[in-house]
Amino acid sequence: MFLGNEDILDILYSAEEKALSLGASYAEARFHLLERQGVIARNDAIIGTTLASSRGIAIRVVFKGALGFSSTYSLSKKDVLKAVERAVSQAREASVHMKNQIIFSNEKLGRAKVSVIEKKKIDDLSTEEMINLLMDSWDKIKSADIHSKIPVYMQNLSWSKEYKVIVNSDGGFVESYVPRVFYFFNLVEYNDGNSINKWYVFAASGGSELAEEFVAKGRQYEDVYVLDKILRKAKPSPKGRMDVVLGDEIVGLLAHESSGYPSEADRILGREAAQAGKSFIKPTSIGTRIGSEIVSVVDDPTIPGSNGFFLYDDEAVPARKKYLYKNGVINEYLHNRYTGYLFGKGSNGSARAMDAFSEPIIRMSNTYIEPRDHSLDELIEDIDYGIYMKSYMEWNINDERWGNRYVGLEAYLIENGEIKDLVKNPVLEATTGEIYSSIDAVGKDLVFHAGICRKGEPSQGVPVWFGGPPIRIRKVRIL
Amino acid sequence: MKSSYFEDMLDRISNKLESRVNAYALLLTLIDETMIKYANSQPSVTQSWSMYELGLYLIKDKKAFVAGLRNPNEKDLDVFIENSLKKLEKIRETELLPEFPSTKTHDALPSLDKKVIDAQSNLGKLMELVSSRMRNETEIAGMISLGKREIMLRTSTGFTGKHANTFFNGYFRIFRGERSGQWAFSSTFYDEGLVEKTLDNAEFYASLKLPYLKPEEGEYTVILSPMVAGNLFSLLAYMSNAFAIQNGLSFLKPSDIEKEITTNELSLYDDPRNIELPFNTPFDAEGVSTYNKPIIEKGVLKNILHNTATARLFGARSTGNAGWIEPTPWNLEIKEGGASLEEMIKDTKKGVLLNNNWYTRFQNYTTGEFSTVARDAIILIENGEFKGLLRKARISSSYPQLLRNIRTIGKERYKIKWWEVENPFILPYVVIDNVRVTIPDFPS
Repeated sequence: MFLGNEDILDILYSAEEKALSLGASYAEARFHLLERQGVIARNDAIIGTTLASSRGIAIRVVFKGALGFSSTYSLSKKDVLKAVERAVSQAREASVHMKNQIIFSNEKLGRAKVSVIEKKKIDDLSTEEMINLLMDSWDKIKSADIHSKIPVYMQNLSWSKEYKVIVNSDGGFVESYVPRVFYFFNLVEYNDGNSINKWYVFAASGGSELAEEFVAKGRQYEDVYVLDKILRKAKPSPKGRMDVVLGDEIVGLLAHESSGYPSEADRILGREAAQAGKSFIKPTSIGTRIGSEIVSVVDDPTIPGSNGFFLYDDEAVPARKKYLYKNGVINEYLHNRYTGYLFGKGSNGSARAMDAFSEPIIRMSNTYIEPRDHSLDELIEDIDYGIYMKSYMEWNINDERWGNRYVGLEAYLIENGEIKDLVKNPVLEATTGEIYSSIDAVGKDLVFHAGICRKGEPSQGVPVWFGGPPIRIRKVRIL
Repeated sequence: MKSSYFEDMLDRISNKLESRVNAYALLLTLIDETMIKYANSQPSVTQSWSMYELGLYLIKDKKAFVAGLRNPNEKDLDVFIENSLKKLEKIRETELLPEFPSTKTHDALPSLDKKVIDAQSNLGKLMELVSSRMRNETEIAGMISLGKREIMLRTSTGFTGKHANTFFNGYFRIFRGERSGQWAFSSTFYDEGLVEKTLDNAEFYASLKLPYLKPEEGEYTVILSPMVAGNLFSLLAYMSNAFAIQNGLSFLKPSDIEKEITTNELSLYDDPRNIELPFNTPFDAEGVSTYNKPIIEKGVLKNILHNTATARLFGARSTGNAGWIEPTPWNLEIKEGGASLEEMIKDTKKGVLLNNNWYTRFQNYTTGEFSTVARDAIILIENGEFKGLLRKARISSSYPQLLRNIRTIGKERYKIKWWEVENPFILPYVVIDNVRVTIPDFPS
């Protein structure tokens, strides 16, 4: 473990000094190390056993209002200082083309060490144990008492360790260590000429104890029965406008896609316009009603054990819980120090970089619809005719985060307040405004789901959670 | 550091592994890249990377272990290798066991352009070029990326490979009020003309003076721009790899080989030997010589992409597409057809032309059911003429359905690579009939 490594610190501070001496008004140096070990299996076969390690030093500078970033594999001081020169030189070239200069907000930056303490050391999860877990899982899946065949049960189990040391010329200094476990399965079932598949991701920060929770006790042992039933029994979905209850899996995705993404201030300002797109939220949208009063959406990186956990962001700004939508009103954007300056609000600690080769940009962490008061039964009993969409496979949204599509996988008809038959692939297409405004009841049980969130150029995937309780939406369009 | 430093490193690791494993491959990738990213009509950030990655593929007693290291120092490397060897002892036999070829050398595929490397340290000219296109009424976003990639491969069967190429990629999205257009380019060689043409094409779609309309949703003839066709057909190329087929991530089956899966208009190629595009390579990650091959030729599925491990499992031959564990396509190509874009539009009675798309997601990989979201210009065509623009639309279909309905392939081709088209792809516009288009009720 590098924590406290004086050589690294010396190089980082030298990089910062060098950048300032070359005329940069801001300098930041980050040592970033990611280690990952994993096993991939298909049915009873091991198809990949992998070990990966990535490390390097990332430099970011502001020179005459232009932003420069450079990353190097070398930890020699000479090469790191060369990377600094490169970042400054490129920013200098860009500075003559800047119409609006980049300025960072003043912040009280962290000087801290953050370390997630594992219950069971992540290193204790040996390759043999991982293989045993995956093979036991296959044994359990294949012995499920179902009618359908299971041609494919693909599993990918891995753990990772992320170490960072960040220093910047405004006094920030943060060392952090976050271990995580990641598990993915793709289950395919086949029956009478028809097939169906479901993939799902489990991930969280913590120790090796998570592996057993994900692999041995995960939802796949229920899904294996559910998919079989859908294949054999699901009826065509009704179409038209009707009431819909969305399960927590879809609600989490909804919070991520149509609350979290559009609330990123850099997206609102157009910095990601050619990649992830813009936002239906405009710089002046704070205070605008987006949904019913009972809907609040939170982004909170400080949740212990979460996949998107951090206490200081990659600009050394303290992280905190933010209400993106509060009681149905657009309340706060996700900011880094650049957008924090432009909006005059300061940063709320939302800058993250995937690895040593990535610039810190505004990202979500753990985004969820805040739970309220209804049980699932209570959400359903008030519906005469509608659909309960519990899980999904297909979804997408337009780049302004306004036009949503969610296609149910496990979905049921609701009649006279009761769950009835399974229905096949109901398609919900609606705008963000329509969905959030049509929510008339919010469940009480908050459940998180894990994912990798993509943004930036080069594209950066960072670990996140998204979640919520089940919600009820009135009179939305099912295709 | 110089190439010789890394070659010495590979020699040293080879010596260390020789007596410890039955077989091995070492793959070293060196990248030096520079990128200018644009937003709000100015550079939002300039970025540069100097990195290397070492991959180890270790085989012993039918067990295989893959390890990857980005940027290790020598001390780390020794510990890492020892650690990997220890792990190799303890894992189980694998289903995907590679068999490295006995060839020792490879032919050269010259694809280095000094102009690209020179431009990395003189970005001013490219910045001037983009700045000269800034107009008050337009907003430009996008990026230009350029650099050099070098790979070195050693295998236990004596193969020694080395290949370097440059790359010059980018894309621009231009906004004019609420209208926008996007285009991309990809090349091995420095070509300012590509930047200009990309800006021209993005501006063309952003500048259409057509009214916004909201037609009924239903089945349309769709004209896919190379941006959209690039996304959908690169996913098809991915789904033609044996790993995807074996693991429930494709609608294709091994028995589809030599069957007609689309109309005879379509020929889709995997082109590692096309030096015009930057995913060129004379050898794959197992040391197998690459060659250009049809995935689909005149509508017939001709090849499933294999490495030696998947080939063994399928009873086939490697197609030179390793990827360890998972085979990978290289450069992609759709062969040109005979129609101009004007002719395609003229021949369309009720259709939409899609400039760009993103967020393609599958409901069911094994049936190929998916939807994708159109973005930038979505043009309604009636009786052979542009009638208006749609604010929002989706294609909702399945791959078997799309493939059965390909009507026309364009003759002019474009070299595309961007966020949603990860492999460099040379292709024209493509016309597909009877595609379900959904159109949301609500304007934004």
